Amino acid sequence: MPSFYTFKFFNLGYLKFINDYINIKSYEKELENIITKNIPDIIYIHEFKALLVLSSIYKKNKILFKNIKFIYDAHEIECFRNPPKVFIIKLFIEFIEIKFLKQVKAKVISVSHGICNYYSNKLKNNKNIFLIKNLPSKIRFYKDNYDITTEKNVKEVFFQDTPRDPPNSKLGIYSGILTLNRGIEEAIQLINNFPNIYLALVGSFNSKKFEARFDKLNYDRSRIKIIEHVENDLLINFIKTADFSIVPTLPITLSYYHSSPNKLHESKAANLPIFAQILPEHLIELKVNSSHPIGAVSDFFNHINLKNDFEIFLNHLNEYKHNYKFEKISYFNSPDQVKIYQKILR
Amino acid sequence: MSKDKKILVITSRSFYNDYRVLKSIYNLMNFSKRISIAQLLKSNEIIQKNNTIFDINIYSIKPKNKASINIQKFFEKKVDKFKRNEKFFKIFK
Repeated sequence: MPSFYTFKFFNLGYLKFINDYINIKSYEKELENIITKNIPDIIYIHEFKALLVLSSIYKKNKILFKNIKFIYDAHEIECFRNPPKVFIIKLFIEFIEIKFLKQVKAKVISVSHGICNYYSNKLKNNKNIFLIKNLPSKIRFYKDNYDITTEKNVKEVFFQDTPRDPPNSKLGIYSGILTLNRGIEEAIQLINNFPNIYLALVGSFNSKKFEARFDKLNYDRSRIKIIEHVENDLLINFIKTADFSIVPTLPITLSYYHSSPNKLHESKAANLPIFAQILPEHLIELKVNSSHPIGAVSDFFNHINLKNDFEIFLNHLNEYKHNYKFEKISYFNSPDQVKIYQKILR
Repeated sequence: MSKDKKILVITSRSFYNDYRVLKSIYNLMNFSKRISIAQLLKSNEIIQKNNTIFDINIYSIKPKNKASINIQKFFEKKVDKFKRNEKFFKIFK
């Protein structure tokens, strides 16, 4: 566990959990009916809440699940999610989750090497653990049609009202949900120190509380702008014209420490030099310790070093961009991902 | 895997807005067309019309137990009140 992992006693994690747990009972009956009616060969579970309902049904009616195979997609390490939970609740979640996964011999899918290692250690079985990264999509999942030729890119949108001054200044992007503990405040503070750098925050707020807090932040509104959420299949082309990407995810929980966020893979698909928080998965993805890195890492908690590291990063942008020649970029439905699914469903 | 295996996807997120869920369904579609989804909605969540490219069975399950909804509302109120209590948070800053 990282030394900077923080534990807060006064948090709302336990209240939310009790609330969720009470709710479980009311889903049980209907879900049981659906399973009885459908008799599936495979049940694919997304996240812990669904697993909790299933484990409760399983306890009462094991015969129902006799010939069913289970696949569990753990988006994160549930007991170490943000906000941090109290010790007892962490233990409870871990107990239920691991017990059920062992009972039904479920195959587990996760998003990063760190999270896969966590589950293989807990389940004492690494044959049933699979890595499916949060790779970007080129596919439109929605039926509504739109004219793709009218779509703009981040540079056009950002500089439509503000002239770029000086012309050789750099434009960085942050893409994803705008929320607490994702290092957005730290990124803004950093950009404030560099008058030649612009930053586009591409995404929408997930809570009004953070929006209000964000409004109070001290930053130059002409250099740091929020651009509304762009659809997933258009995002890569939209951000391609930026000069670099910033991925400041703070490791405030173990789950964040091992995270491999969408924005990292989207930035890679757009061939952008990446400046990221120093985390195990970021080191792997950016190939920081190789001869062809595509970005740099720093500690967003250490403001003095951060400034120096960012300055060095800016001086090597061309080199990072050039190193993308050695990268193989894949999308979520690439042949290697389909192969992994083939193994999982075998 | 034979094409006719039945798969039930259970998610606690509204699958219309969660790309990881949508991507997993797309990947599963390579192997089976008989996919159903059961989504566990929150008590205040609205059942949306399926505007995705997936032509599949969707079961939307809302919490039915009135007592549970009341308890949930109670907790939501408490959490809201707790969040708004700035004096309390100042002590721990």
